Amino acid sequence: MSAPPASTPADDCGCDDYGVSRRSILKAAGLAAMAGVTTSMFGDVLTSTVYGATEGNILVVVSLRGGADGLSMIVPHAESAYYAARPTTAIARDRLLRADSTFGLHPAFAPLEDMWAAGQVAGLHAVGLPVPNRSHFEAMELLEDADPGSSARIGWINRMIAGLASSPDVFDGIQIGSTVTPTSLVGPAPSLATGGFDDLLMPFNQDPKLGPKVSATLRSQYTAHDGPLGAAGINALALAARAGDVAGAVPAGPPSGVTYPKYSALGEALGTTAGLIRAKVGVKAVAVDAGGWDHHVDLGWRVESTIKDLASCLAAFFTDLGPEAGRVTVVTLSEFGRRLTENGSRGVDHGYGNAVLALGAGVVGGKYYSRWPTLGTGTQVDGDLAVTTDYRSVLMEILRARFPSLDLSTVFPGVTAKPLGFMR
Amino acid sequence: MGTTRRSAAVTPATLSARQQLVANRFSFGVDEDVVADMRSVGGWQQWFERQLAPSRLVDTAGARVSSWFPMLADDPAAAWGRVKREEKSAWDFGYDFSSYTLARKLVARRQVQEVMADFWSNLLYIPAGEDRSFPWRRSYDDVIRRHSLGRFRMMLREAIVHPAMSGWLNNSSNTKRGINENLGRELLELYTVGRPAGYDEADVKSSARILTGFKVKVFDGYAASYEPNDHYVGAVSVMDFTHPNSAADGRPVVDAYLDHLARHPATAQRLARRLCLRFVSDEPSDDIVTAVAAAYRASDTDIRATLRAMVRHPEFVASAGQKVRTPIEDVVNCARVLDMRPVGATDDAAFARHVVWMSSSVGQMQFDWPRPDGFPETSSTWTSPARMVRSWNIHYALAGNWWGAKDIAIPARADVMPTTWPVTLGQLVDHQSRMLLGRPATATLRQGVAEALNRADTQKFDTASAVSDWTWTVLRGAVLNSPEGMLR
Repeated sequence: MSAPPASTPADDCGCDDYGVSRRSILKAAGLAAMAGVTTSMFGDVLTSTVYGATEGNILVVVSLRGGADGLSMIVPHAESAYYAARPTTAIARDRLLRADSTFGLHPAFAPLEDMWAAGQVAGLHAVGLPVPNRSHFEAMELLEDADPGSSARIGWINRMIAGLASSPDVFDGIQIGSTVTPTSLVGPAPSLATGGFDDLLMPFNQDPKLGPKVSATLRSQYTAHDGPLGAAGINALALAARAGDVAGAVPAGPPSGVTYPKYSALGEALGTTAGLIRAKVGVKAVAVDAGGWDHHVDLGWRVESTIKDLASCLAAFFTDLGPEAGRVTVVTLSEFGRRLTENGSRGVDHGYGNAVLALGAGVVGGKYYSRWPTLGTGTQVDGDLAVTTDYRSVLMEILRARFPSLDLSTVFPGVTAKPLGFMR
Repeated sequence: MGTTRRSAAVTPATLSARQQLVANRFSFGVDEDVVADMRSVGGWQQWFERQLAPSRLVDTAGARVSSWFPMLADDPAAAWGRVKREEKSAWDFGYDFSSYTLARKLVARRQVQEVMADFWSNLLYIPAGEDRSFPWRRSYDDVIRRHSLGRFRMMLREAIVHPAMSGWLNNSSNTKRGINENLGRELLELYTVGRPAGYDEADVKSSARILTGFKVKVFDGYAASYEPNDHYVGAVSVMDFTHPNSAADGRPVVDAYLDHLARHPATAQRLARRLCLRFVSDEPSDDIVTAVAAAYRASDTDIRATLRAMVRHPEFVASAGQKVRTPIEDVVNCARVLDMRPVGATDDAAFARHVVWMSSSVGQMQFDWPRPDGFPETSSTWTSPARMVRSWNIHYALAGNWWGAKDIAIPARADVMPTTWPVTLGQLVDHQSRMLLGRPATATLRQGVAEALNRADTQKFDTASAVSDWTWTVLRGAVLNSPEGMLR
């Protein structure tokens, strides 16, 4: 069982600006009745505790599994090619939220509009893998390994964790929701994939006599066992020892006033994530899956409900975080965008360039960022939106702003960032 | 079971290492029946051959399971009717189907068929209770099981055009007027040749065009039909497959295309590797993969010939201990070796339902993987520390029946204990290690159980009833928690 590693002071959050922004969100949301609560939530007394040694910045990566349709999320409404290619599923200009001369948000993003207005959400476009790959499984693997030059299967979040502490803790990088470790977390630094924390305790943990003996026997047996299973057993004992503290610290549910959508797996995972962050156990990166983006059929209503779920969950998440929000940056990633042209099922098949959302701490939001390639003939790649910003450049921009001590050349070897300027 | 049961002896006989390996890899748990069958037919080869011909193996227990889930016998229109009337949901059908699947694993005598049905279901994967496929899911399962020890080519022909697949991967709305690439792409990437075969986006579109015409009235009765009017007519080309495709009825072209893909060397290589991942190790050598692929091609995609080549290969023989049971395999294995059998599924308290939630609580729920690529076949995926902790806990819950399952048969304790007493605690640990793990207890395990119970391992029990329920549960849970208990 290892002690929580101390993060470097450089990674501590800059909460001052955020507190102000949070207040303005609540005002914008018309929550005048909460004004008193706001003061106590974001007052000096509490913010001062946010500067503790283990309370560094946190990155939450929300993976939109299945290939999200970036052209529905952030609609390029000035492009006649978009409307021509999608006769039944294009979103009309007058339905879009927060439109500028080029882009506008899908109306289902309404729950995030206040954060957008407060400058805490940025929309990025034409982002993706450097080379098209329309296979879900290969594209996800490439996206999460993010080091095509190496044959070792080590994910970029694992390299990030390893770069932030000389002996990373098992709670540094966590997948919440699914129990299968995503590629981004795979690697030599310990990681954890779990739905929650209360089911990670050892058998008979409440029996002070039997419990320790059972654990001691398992320790002897798994120490003597060669191979990965033996190592997993030893790590399991360490995990269970830490999980006891965490399970006690993570609150059972969100604070009053925070409502995640009902029956939402993403909401459940983000609620657990917020609890973990509020418990201050020293997590640095959390990966969360948001499934259901593979819209080959009936894009219209399906993408609307998927975006609504995403937007409602993210809005609830930032409210749930309370004063901790000043430490947390969220980025959405998806393995590929969809084809520009509708298929025979009023859906869209696998495409290329995509949209990305960046939210929370350090984000210069309320606007769109893109080296927009346009959808004109000749600029498309195999009939799809081109990629003008490598997704790794987006991540580097976030990491550079939020984890300045990190050597980015070890996280994304051989990549030169081309910043879009969406982080401060 | 009378006095001939193996457990009557203080030191029960175990299988040979080779027998134990084959039985571990090709059953969901080496229980008394598997051991008895293996011993009565004279060896692992004979056992394997008998299992490869399931129709000649009487399996009353396996056949009985269907009757516990009457809703699964609904035809698609009736299933949809229940959902439309809001009497049941697609999820309810999925829950029944997952419970049914686990119950078959638990009780079937045709274990190799069950194991292979699981393998192919994970390759040609369709989740349970998915909206566009649920009324056809059981029918699809019957197709997979029927071909699971036959020819892959014939399984592929039926599976790809099955209404469940058409619904799940949107082939039901793939028409000549507007193609939908979903099934055409996954057929190449996941079910046959794989990405290294080097097909391009034009091939994917051609693949989808060949598959046009298979209609399912999704969200409206789910009737399935073939519609020549929806079928794309005109030359198609996918890698080295070309066809004029000039007839209105494209089904003969589909069969030719699927046969071509099934026989393709890249498919042979891909399936061989996946079989070796499941049955040999996470890193099978090129040598064994090539040998298995060669057997597959030489036999025109015959699954039995392919499996024989794999189990005879020296790398398989030397691979004991290299595969970790998945959470589902682990829960089912424990229940089988503990001789806990479902006998019905009347409600949520039934054991056949509990096993769904037990494996889910460890991190894997039957047919709950959301993507078309199936659960990972690599053991490393299932060897996380979190999984270990959860498995250790669930083993005690099973050993003590702490969830209080009903619709379950559990033998009386005296019927699985030695008949000659007194027996020492150490002997009892060894007895259970032989019964549950198929191997003698290590000194560490004997000592550990003794310390946990605050006794010496030399302490004698004079009768079976002198062993308390608590002692028995702590002892058996500890045996199942041995590293060897989690390997297959």
